[in-house]
Amino acid sequence: MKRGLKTQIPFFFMLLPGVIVLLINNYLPMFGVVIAFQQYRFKDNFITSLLTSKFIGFKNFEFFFKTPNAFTVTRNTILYNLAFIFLDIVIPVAMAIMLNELRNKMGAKLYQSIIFLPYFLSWIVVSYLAYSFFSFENGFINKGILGPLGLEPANWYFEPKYWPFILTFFHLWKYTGYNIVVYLASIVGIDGEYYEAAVIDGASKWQSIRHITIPLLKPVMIILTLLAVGRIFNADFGLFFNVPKNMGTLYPATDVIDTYVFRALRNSNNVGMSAAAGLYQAVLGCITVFSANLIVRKIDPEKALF
Amino acid sequence: MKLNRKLLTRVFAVVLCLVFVLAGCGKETQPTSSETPSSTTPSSTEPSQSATPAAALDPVTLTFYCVGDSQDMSGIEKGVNEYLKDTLNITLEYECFGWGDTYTPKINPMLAAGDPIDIVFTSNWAANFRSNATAGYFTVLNDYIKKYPGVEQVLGSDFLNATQIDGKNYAVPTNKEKAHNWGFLLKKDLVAKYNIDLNSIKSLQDLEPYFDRVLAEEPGMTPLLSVQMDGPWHLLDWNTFSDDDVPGALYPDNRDTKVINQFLAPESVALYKQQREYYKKGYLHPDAATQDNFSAEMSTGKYFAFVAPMKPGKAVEMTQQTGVEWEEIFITPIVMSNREADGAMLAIPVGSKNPERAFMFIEKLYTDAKLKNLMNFGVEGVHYKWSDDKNYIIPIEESGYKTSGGWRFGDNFKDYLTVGEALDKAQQWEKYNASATPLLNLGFVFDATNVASEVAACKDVVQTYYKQLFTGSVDVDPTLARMEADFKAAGVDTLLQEIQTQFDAWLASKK
Amino acid sequence: MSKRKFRLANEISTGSNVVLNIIFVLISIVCLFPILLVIAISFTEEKQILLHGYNIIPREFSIKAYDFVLSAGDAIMRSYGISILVTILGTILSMSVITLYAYPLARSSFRYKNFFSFFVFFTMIFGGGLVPWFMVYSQLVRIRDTIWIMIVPYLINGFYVMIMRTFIKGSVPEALMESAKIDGAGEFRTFFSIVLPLLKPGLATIGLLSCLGYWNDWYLPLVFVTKRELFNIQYTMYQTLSSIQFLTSGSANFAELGKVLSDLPGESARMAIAVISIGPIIFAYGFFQKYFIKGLTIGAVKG
Repeated sequence: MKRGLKTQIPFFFMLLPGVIVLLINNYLPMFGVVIAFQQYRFKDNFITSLLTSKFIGFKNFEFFFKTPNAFTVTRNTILYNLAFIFLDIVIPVAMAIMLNELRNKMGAKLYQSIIFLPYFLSWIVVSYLAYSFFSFENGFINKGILGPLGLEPANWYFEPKYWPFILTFFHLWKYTGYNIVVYLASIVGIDGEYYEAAVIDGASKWQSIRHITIPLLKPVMIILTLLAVGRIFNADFGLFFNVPKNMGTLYPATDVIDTYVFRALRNSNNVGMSAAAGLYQAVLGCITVFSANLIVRKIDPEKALF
Repeated sequence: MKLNRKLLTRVFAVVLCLVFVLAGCGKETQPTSSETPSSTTPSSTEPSQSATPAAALDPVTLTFYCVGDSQDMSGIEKGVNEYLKDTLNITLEYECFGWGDTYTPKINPMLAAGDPIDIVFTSNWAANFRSNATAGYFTVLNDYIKKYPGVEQVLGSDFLNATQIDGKNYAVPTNKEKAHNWGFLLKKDLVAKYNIDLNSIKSLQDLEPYFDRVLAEEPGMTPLLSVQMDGPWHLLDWNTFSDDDVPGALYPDNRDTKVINQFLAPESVALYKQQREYYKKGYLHPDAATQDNFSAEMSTGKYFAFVAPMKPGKAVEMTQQTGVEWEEIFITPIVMSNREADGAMLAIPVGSKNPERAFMFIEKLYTDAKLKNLMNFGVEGVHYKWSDDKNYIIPIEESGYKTSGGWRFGDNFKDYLTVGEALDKAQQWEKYNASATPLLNLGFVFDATNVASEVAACKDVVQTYYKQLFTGSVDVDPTLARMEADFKAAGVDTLLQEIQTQFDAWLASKK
Repeated sequence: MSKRKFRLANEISTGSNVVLNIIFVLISIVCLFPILLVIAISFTEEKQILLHGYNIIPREFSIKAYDFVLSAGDAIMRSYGISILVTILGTILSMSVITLYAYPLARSSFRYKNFFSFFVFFTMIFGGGLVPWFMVYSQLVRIRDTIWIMIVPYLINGFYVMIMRTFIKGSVPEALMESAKIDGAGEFRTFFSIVLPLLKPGLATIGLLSCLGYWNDWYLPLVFVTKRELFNIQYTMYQTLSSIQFLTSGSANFAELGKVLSDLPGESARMAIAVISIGPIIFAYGFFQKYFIKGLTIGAVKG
């Protein structure tokens, strides 16, 4: 047993820096999660405040469930995330493979850089651009496209039904370049000998992709999916808050947990309520990802997260 | 890039060093305190004397965080430190952190954690005065106010105590306008063209014939500008108990003390219907519900009328701001409400190590014109210079410094005049304030602790519907029905009941 | 590069190549157009924007927006410096921490790999909340208002660790690592001389993402930093944009709102801000990119 442990020691040294940072940055603050169940009042210093603040059970969670929209925002969050998870795999993988197959490497480099560019624009700036497209009177779509075609202008900011598509488009537009990078790196790492062997065996291009590239990308795809599933109750705040310009008319389709909590707590420094909201998302995310991880474990333990 | 072992070993060594650095000795940057309040107490029998004899005060660092965009803070800090060396003997650390969403999320955790900051700006729209005060993050100032009476002398007890909670002062308001009213701004050239007699306009209806003329005769011009809540809604001038988007208000004419949901009141519903008619007639911009920057819209010069907060010299100010010429008409009666008091205040967080010295500094902002203008406009000769007739100050462009507003702290009326302001500004303001009717709930601060979830839920209901209703962009009845249902589900009745109970108790205690 | 008259085995046909190229050109237009629009707006006269809206070709060319934003001169230079310093330092350190952490997780001979995987992954979902997190850096590890506060919280990140673990498992066969052990090499030796050289694409990926993460961050300065000298460029820019956002949101109601709004940058200046904050990071992308495209690294991969 002692000898066995000795071989493990170098590993512990390697883990040490990361563990220290995690303890300080993540695990130590976790004690503060009790605030979610307290009516936080300041007294002397932080520790005393934690100990003396009144315990109020689940009252801090009420604001979230009291709203007529509790179901809607949760549903929206989950559905958007499911769509994003699915599309964030299919599209970047397809594009990464295509980019890798291009014969003009200079072109591939150029396309990839350009596709990455949208990642650099903040959502606030994107919301200005979106407004110039979708505004009713002078927007580019109404005035520049639908008008000349003789079609009726649409009141974009008043019709929730368009927005799942609009927001999904913007999400893909911004993050595909980012996701492609991860998959491309995996593809580059695939040993060329596999492909050479396949060619010798007479496989077509499509067959090599199906039987070599995709299976070898599976670990990355599964990991990214599991990571995303863990955050299925968290939404990309910048996207959902800024791009729809905080229009109440669109809330049925664009309101997610994060935007709702932000608006509710914006002008009140209620530490307990914000802690409660975060806890709610975290617990649900945990349950979801544990279940997902368990399923993956049963199929192929090597590919699971933990 | 050849990965060689040497480089990586070095990197690894750096990582290990980092670990040790973190574990032990981070740089401590909190201001050190070397003063205890009791050692510097001037005798309390000296009324307006706020400076102790020189060399009796230990040097102390005061941190002051405020809203605004300012540059060259070190220039100001130097000026202030020098000026106060013999009196307060402080080293000032003064920083401005933008507005709203960059200021509040920064200050709030510091307050909740009890950080040793000395002075913070707080209001109903930044660093949430009401909730922070009730949570106990601010020092109670009553004793300091008595000891250093300069603040109360300048503000007047009524105004000073308008922000009291349970008889305790948690912050001191800026001495600025004490009242408000609403009115119209009309585009000057059209007023001339249509020969409008400004005195004949008493309501929005009076403007309707001119709206029609604008539609007929001025292509590309929109008669009425209405952006979010800045529009005809303000003509109703509801006397609110909380934020503008939270139900719970009184009628502005002091007719009774019944707390109502202003968004469902008959007058409001009439307004929604009127706005709907206006929208259909074309008086409002088709994109009115999505517009968000009224200042930019006004600068385009494509609007005829706008409902704006009034004050002496409003038209002149707006003309300067927007580059378009305006005429002003006062419409609603001038009233004194809580909004003026809690629009800009200074508070001392409980974590401060030098609350007394901090208050002495605050008091000086009310009593010492030179300090006030130092903090606001900067150092003379460096950031600004005087005009030839010594009446106005002119900012020096190259210094890169731009004031974010003297209304944020201290006595606003001690500020030097800038070009365009009336020479008798102070007198005009006095007249304005004196003609105001105090509202029934002046001085009552609503504590939302018990109904925090209802407030949040109701806020959300308002946010969902108000833009469309206020700009007439949708049919009123179905939207109104949905809003009513949502309010009920959000618990608005509990909220109104809570406000009424607290308000009645406060009224009873005043008798 | 000499033109080949034949195609290598396993390359796609010329026809397919053309089709793919067309697809990518279209996608590139969709991605590039908004960026060009932002640049165009930043060079447009403000009045023209108010009157006529956005236009891909400026109606009236003007550099006033950049004048305005860069008038803070020294402060901008300084915040650029801070950004660059934090990014370089942070990227190097975080790549070290992350890779070191991921290696044991990828080794089948490490008995506790599942525990430590969970240990880092859990932090991605669960947090103690803003105030406790703030307290730790304010009272315990007092690095607020130093460079380190912008580096430390991002040193290790479950997302990157998991991806790196996958890369290691994928690029380095277990057999290779085992054979090194049989030859007498310790884990560190194996890590440095065998694993790292094969990990170039993975390192480049995490390096790039980490680099971007540090460069783009405005959240840490927002929460922790109060000293102006330590503001990075993203935070400086964000402060302005977010202030405008707040002031036009209807949540701000104070009498001087109009004046404050009119003093803040107009549309063209906001776009100039966006352009400036993208800045040098585009070049970082170019630096890392050469590791993603096959054909340019054929020699390097097999170290």
